[in-house]
Amino acid sequence: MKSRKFGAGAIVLTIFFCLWGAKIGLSAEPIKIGAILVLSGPFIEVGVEEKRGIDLAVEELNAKGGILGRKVEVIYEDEQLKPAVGVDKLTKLMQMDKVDFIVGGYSSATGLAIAREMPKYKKICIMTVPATEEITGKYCNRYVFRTSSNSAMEAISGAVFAKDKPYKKFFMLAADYNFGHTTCDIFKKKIKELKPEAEVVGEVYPPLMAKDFAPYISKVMQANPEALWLPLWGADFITFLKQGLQFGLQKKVQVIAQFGGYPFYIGPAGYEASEGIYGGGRYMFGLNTPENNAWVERWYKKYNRYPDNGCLSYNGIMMLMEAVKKAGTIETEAVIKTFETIQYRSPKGLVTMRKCDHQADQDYFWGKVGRVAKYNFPYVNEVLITPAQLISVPCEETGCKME
Amino acid sequence: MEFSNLLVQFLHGIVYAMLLFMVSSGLTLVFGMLGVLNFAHGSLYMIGAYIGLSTVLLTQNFWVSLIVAPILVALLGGFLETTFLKKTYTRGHVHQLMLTYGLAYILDELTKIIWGTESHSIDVPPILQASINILGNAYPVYRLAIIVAGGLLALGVWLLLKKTRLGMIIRAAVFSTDLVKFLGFNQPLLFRGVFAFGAALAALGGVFASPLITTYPGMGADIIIDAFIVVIVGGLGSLPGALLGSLLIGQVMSLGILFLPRFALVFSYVLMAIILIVRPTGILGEKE
Repeated sequence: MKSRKFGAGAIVLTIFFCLWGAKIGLSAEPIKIGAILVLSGPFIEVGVEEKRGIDLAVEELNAKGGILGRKVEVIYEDEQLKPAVGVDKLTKLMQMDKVDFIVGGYSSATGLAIAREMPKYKKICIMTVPATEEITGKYCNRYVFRTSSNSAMEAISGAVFAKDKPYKKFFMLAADYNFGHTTCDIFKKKIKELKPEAEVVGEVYPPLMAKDFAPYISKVMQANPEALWLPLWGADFITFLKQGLQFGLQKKVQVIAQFGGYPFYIGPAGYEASEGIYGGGRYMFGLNTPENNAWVERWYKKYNRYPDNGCLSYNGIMMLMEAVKKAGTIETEAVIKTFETIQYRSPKGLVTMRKCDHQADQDYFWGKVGRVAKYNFPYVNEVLITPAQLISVPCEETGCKME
Repeated sequence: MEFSNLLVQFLHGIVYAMLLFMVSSGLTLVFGMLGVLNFAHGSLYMIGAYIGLSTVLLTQNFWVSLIVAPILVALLGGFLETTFLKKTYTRGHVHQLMLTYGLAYILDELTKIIWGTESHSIDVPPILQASINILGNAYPVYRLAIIVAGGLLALGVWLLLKKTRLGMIIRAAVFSTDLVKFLGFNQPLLFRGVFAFGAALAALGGVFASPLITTYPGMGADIIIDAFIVVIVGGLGSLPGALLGSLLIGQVMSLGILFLPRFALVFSYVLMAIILIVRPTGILGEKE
């Protein structure tokens, strides 16, 4: 009897403290962002880099007093490269943590799964890494904004970059899944459009995580192309460069690698394997503009290393918060309206959000990899820009119908 | 199709077969003797590669790592056998599968904690860096060296098993463990030795693979599937079977890429399925 009474008292007391706590909290309740990144497994370095970008953005925002007088707070979850896990984590963030905004996914598959869940919650989600054009194409919806470029823009950028080079015979090699095939299809279409005398003499699609690329490398070299369009990434990309070196591929064929501008790939591949290739990147820290140099300095101070593509998630948070600031509220509909008009002067240049498909237009970068005296890893000698207006996909071609 | 192209793809197939053989020979030996299907075998291959990597970074010498990595991994294998596997011999396959599967996870995570999650690469040793001309195609000497090393290894293990007293005891133990025990041989030591030897072979494969394939977390899981296919195709517990299976899978993959790249990956599974239907014990496997 006694213990039950005590129990009831404890419950009342708990409820009281909860209410009290909530009331106190209300005055300075933070804006909560739930970030679903890949924080385990073979691609963890990409997730960690994405987190660095978010952390830097949040630190800078909070140092200036936060947004709308409220601090910004991020709760991280690991998608484990599994769309189902990503959706579970989204549910958790929404229902238990009651976050206000979502940063969604690393892989295209997870990004797409999260994007398609967002209308259910009527909250805004930004995508800073997933690149499948379907997120802002066939499956676009008003709650999802992609602040980084998509794979269609990047493949076009590759064609724009390659057309001015003296190559006519191209070969394409990509991983055998959705991304690999689309980016090759688009590159092929675009290079023929921009340079009618160009031809694709062959294409081959090794599986993701191929152990030995030698049979594929021989296939490329047997076709005798002048240039190779290579949208590989991660361990595959590194392995390919290393093995290509052993067969003399890089000397014989000009490699044009979509992600060859990131130190976390060409670093492990080494000087010999990456020297002379053309490498691309959604962001390159070597971009020599005052804004970027200042930003890289802040990054270096915090992390004691150069950014790979961490600028993308930094941009995402900054654009989202600028939209919130402009709206003067975190209410979803109001923020969607302002977000659609955001033109953000980012470290990598102007990033413009489009109203038609919620895809942000922005530049893509290229350069020739080599030895740069300043750095102790291979890097591009000079950062070249394929400007946003040349690589942007026209609204009516995206397949997006925004209700 | 030009003959030289065919030849190059054929060589690629043999190179991969030799790496597969280094992994699957240990796998099949351990199964033959201990009756354990060791899921953690891929992890031992990966740890071998990582120890090789550290050794090369420390000593700048590839050849040292070829000695250091197998020895250290053999010690690790011996430790795993004594501490964990030994207790499951009387409990059947399910316990062993669960145990080795769990061990694989633990070893993979430990590898990430020790060496981090980034991909690493080591250089091909200087004397093997050249390429030679094979009918107009440049072919890396290092790959040919792997073929030679794999061949020598197969020969060495075969001689060990067929021509030495120890090999005779091991073969006898594969035939009947109890018999060997009753004859007064130190059966626990024999088991530990074989497990350690299998681990060393895997580590050797890992070191040979690292200049070729990047060293990365998950490389063990990537090869263990192929190694299992090899062992199933060749016959569980049969060393010549492992060699034959490796050569078959290597060629199926390599020539598949040349002729039908879209379906290259499926072929090895198709081969496995056919073997399982036609000859469930594997090509050189013994009937139960």
